[in-house]
Amino acid sequence: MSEVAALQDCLAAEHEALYAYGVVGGVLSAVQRPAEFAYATASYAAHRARRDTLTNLIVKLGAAPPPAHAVYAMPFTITTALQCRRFARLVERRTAAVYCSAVSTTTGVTRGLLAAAVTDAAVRELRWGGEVQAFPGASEL
Amino acid sequence: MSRRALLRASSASALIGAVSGCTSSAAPPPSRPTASTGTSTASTVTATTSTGTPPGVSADVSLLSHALTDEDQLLAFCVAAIIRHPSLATELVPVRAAQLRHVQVMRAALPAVHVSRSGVHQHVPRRASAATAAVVSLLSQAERHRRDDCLRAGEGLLARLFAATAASHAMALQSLGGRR
Repeated sequence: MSEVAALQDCLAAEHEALYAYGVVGGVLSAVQRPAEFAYATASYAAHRARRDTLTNLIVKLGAAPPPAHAVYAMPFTITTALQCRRFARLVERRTAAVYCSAVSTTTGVTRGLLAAAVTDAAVRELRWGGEVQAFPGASEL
Repeated sequence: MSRRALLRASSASALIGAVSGCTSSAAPPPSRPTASTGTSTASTVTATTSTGTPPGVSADVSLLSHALTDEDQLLAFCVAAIIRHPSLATELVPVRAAQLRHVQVMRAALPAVHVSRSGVHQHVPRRASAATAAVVSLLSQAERHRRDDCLRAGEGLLARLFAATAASHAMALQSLGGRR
């Protein structure tokens, strides 16, 4: 896989994460969980920043950033705070896996950026109630 | 064999191939400073020997060998801390489990000739809070080192291993309340 393709995969994952946090934020607001809503908002902002960085990188490399889909399939019904936390953990786990895979096809500053994103996603998963993992993003190891 | 076991086996094989297949003769990375807990009351974990990587081995093998020594020391400290302070088990057992996996995977990926035990003198502080602080300090250092290793690795698969290990340390730090 080329560096550009890897970055495009990461951007696609960020689009999906942003959509997911839109859903999570809406539910947490509706069920009045202010602390979790605040963390969902912060997570959304972090993913948005990564999305913008990736978009710029891909454009600089002369490629087309993949657009976001209008709708993404939800893995299960999300109407409670508990389901929100579970969904957020799933989103972060998937995001970490995409970034971690991309690390292996990049070098230098780009690799550093992607590795930092693996760490950020792993820590967010933990903060949403996840457990310490030996190899976040590379669970087959 | 389960799908997970198969995946693990194939990933480990790929890593072994990636690392041992390197033929460059770049100099090994410079030794890092001795691990220190950074607390005045805590004793230190001191590496008394190098990894024993002979000159002329590939830079990636050397990098992995140094990382293994580092991770091994952290594992040893976690084990000792839990033995000395059973009250810390709840928070340290998951960290120890992750550390054990780091050591197992890194050891499996290294060509046998480059695997050497680290000479570690560990001394766990008498107070449980100081022992936790010492683990936090070592984890912070290990996270920083694995992030550097990720950038320096020649093989992509090795870079991925280091990125995942650094992220694991960050999770452990977060779980212990030691992350900024």
